[in-house]
Amino acid sequence: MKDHDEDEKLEQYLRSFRLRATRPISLSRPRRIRIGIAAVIASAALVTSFVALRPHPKSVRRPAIEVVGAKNLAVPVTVMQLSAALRNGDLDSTLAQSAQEILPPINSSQSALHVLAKE
Amino acid sequence: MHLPFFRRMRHEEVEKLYAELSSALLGYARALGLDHVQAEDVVQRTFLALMESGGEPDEPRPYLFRAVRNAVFNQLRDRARETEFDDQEPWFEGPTIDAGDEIDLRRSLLALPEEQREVVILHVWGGLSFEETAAALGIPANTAASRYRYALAALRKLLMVQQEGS
Repeated sequence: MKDHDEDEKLEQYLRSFRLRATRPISLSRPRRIRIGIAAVIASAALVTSFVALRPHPKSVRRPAIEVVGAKNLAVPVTVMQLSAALRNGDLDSTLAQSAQEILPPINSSQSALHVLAKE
Repeated sequence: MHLPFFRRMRHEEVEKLYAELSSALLGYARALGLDHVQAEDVVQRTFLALMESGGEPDEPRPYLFRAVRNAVFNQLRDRARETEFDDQEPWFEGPTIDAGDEIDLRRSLLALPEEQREVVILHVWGGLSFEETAAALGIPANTAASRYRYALAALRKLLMVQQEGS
C-alpha cells in the first residue's frame, strides 16, 4: 500500500513535467493524391492546347459534282478550224457541232444543268 | 500486433493525433537516444508517412510509437550511435519547471534500462494504457506493467541520488 502511494506520488511528479512541443508540421495531401491532381491538370492542359493549336479548315469543301457527259474542254475547237469555217461560210454549223461535242447533254437527268438546278 | 489499414485516414484526424502525441513521441525518440533535431525529424517523418500511406492503423496511438521506435533504431543502427547524455537540449519545458530538476529527471530516465525507460515514456507522457504500450512494443501487457513498476522503483532511487548530489 505504501509502495502504491509512493508510485502515485512519483507519477504525479513525473506528469508535472511537460515534454517539449514539436515544431508545427505541414501535413499536406498525400503525394498520391497530389500526383493524381497534377495528372488531371496536365491532361486537361494537353487537350486544351491540342484543340487550340489544331489547324482549322479555311472553308468547307463541297463535294465535287460529277457531270456525266462532260468532255475535256482543254482543246474544244482550234483557231484553224474556226478560220476555215469562216472562209467556207459555215461558221454557225461548225460552232453548233462543236457545242454538241463540248457541252454535256442538256436533256440528260445527270447533266450539269440538272445537277445545279437541284442545289 | 495490427498492421493492416482499414480505411483512409482523414487529414484532420492526423493533425489531431499530431497535436495530441507529437510531444510524447518526441520525448520517446529522445529517450531512445536521438538528439532534439533528430528526434523531431523522426516524428515528423512518421506523421508524413502516415499521411502518405492513405490509411489508418486500427490502433493509431500504439502504431505511432512503434513506428517512431523503429525509425529511431534504424537511425541509431545506421549511425552506430550509443545512447548517451551528450545532448544539452532539455526534454521538458514549462514555466514552473526548474532547470536543475529537469536535468535530474533526464539523467534518471537515461539511467534506466531502455526497456523500462520506453514503458515510462509511453505510459506517463504518451498516455497509453499498458495494453496499448504492449501493442506498441510487441510485448505482453503484463510485461509492460511489470517493467513500469520496476522503472518507478528505480526512478525513485535515481532521483533521490540526483537530488542529494546536486
